[in-house]
Amino acid sequence: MEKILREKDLLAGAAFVVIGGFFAVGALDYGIGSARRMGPGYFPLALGSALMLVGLALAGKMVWQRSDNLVGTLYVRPVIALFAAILSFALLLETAGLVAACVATVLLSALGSRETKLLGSLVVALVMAAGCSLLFVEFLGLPMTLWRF
Amino acid sequence: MDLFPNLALGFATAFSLSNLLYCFVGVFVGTVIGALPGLGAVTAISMLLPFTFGFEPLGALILLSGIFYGAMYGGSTASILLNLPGTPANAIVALDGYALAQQGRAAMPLFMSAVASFVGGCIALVLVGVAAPAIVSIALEFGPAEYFSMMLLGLVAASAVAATSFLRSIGMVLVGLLLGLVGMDIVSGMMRFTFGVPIMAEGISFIVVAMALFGLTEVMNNLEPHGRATITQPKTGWRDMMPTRDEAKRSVWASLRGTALGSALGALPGAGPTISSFMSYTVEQRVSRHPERFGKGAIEGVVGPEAANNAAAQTGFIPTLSLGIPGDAVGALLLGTLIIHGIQPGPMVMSRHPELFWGLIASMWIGNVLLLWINIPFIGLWVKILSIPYRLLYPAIVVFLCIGVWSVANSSFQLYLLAGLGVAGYVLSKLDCPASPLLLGLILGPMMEENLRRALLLSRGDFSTFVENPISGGILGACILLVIVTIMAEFRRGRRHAAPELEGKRSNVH
Repeated sequence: MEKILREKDLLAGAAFVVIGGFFAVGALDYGIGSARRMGPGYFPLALGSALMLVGLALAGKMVWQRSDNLVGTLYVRPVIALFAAILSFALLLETAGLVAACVATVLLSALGSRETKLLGSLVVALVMAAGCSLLFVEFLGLPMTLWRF
Repeated sequence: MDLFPNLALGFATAFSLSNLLYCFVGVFVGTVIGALPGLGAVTAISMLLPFTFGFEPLGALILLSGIFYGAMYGGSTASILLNLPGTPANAIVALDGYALAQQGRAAMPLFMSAVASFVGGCIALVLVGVAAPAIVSIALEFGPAEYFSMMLLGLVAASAVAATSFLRSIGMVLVGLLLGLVGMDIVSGMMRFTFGVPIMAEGISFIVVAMALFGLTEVMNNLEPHGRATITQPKTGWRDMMPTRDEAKRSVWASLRGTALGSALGALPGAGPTISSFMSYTVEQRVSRHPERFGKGAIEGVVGPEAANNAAAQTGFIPTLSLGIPGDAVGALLLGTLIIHGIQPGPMVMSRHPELFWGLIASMWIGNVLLLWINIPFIGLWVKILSIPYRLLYPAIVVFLCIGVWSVANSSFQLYLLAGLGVAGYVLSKLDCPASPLLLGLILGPMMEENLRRALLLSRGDFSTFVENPISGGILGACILLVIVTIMAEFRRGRRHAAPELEGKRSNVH
C-alpha cells in the first residue's frame, strides 16, 4: 500500500486532477456562455476538465498496469537554499541595493551544494557583485540601485 | 522562386556590423553554454532574453538563435571529453566519442563533430530557405479553424514524440494552456485567475516560466549528489584531429544520412534535435556492416548524430517562422521574442518583414561558418572552460536568473513567481513530467483560444466547422491518428523500456 502511494503515475495523475480541478472550478465564476458566444470561462472550463480526465487516466493506468516506478528521494537542501536565495534577492534589491542582493544570493545559493567552500563562494560573490554592477547598471543601464543604506 | 534576390537582401541585412556582432556573441555564448554540462540552450536563451528587449527585433533573433545552434556545436565537447552531455541532443555522441577519447584520440571526434555539424547546418539552411516560403503561401489561405487545428496538431505531435509518457506530456500541455489563460480575457476584458493581484492582469510571463523550469529546476536537479567524471586532457594539435582515410570515408555518408534525417524530423513540430540525433545513431548502427564497433569508438556514431541535431536545429525554424507555431521550447521562446517586439507571428511575417526572415537565414549561415572557426582552433580553450567546478558556477547562474526575471517587469513579484514555479518545477520533474510541453502550451494558449472563438463565431457555434473544412479536417484526422498510435504503442511497451541504455544517457542530463 505504501508503495502504491509512491508510484509516479499516481502522484502525477493526482497533481493533474488538482490543477485541472482548480481551473475548472474557478472558471465557473467567470460566465461560461455558449459555443457561439463564448464567455471568459468556457475555454478554462474545457481545458481544466480535460486535464482532470488526463490525470484520472494516468492514475488509472497505474492501477491497471503497475510500473513500479517510484518517486526517488527529494533533496530538500538545494530546493530550500535556492528558494531562499531568490527571496533574498527580491527583498534586498529594493531595500539594500544590487551589491548586497548579489552577495546574499550567491552565498545562500552556495549553501545548496555539499561541496561548497566558504572562500570560493566569497570570491564568486564579490566577482558577481562587481561584474553585475558594471554590466547591468553601468553598461546596460537597468534601473537598479547599487547601494542603499 | 525569388530565392536569390531574397538571399541577397538577407545577406545585406546580416552583414551589418551590429548584426555580425550579435551573431558572433550568440554563437560564442551558445558554444560555451553548450559545452558546460547542466546548462541547456533553453536555459541560456531564457536567461538572456530580457536583455535583448532594447535590441532591434532582428538583432535579438540573431543572438538568440545563434545561442541555440551554437549549443548544438558546443554540446558535443562535454559529451566526448567527460562522457557527460552538454545538452540532451548531444547525449548519444558520448557513446562513441568518449570511447575514442579514452583511446587518446579526443581531438579527432571533436574536429569531426564540428565539421559534421557544419555540413548538417548548411544543407538544412537551404531547405529552410526553400520550404518556409512554400509553406507560407499555403498558410496564407488559413482561417481560424485551420489555425486552431494546426496548433492542436503541433501540441499533440510535440507530446507524442516526447521522451516520457504521452499522458504526462499532454497533461503538461494542458497545464501550460491553462497558465496561459491567466490575465485579462481579450474579448470580455474580465480578469481570470489573477487573485486580485494587479500585475497578474498581464498574464504569467513565459520568460519567468522558462527561467523557473529550465533554469532553477535544472540547477536543483544538478545539485543532487552524484559522481562527477574527471576530464581527460586531449592533445589538440592539427595532426591529432585528422581521421584515418577509412574513417573519413565512412563519415561522409554518415553525416549526409544524419543531415537528411535531422532536416526531416526537425521540421516536424515537437521532434527536434534530441530525437533526431538518437534516431540517426540507430540508423547508423543498422546500416553499418560492423555494428559491433558502435560504442567502442565508431566515428559514424559521432558524425551522424551531430549532423542530425544541427540540421534539426535549423529546420526547426520552418514551422516557427512560416506558421508561427513553435516546434519545441526554443521555437516557443523565439516566438515569444517576436511577440515582445510587437511582431505578430504567422505567415504574414515573411511578406511584411522580409528583411527579418531572410536576414535571420543569412545570419544562421554566417553563424555556422563562425562556429567552424570558433570550434576547431579553440578546442583547447573549451577544455579549460569545462574544468570550472559546478559549485562555483551555479550561484552565478542563480544571480543571472534573478536579474533577468527582475528586468522583465522591474518588479519583485516576478521573483516570487520564479521561486514558487522553480519549486513546483522540481516536484514535477521528480514525477517525470516534462517541462517543454508546458512552455509550448503557455505560448500557444492565448492564440488557440482566440482562433477557437473566432472559428466558432463564424460558424454560429457549430463545431462541425473544424471537420467540414478539408484542411482543418485533415489535420484533425492526423491528430487523432497520432493519439491512437501513440497510446497503443505506450500500452504495448508496458513495463519494459524501449532502449534502456539510451534512457540512461538521457536521464543524465535531466
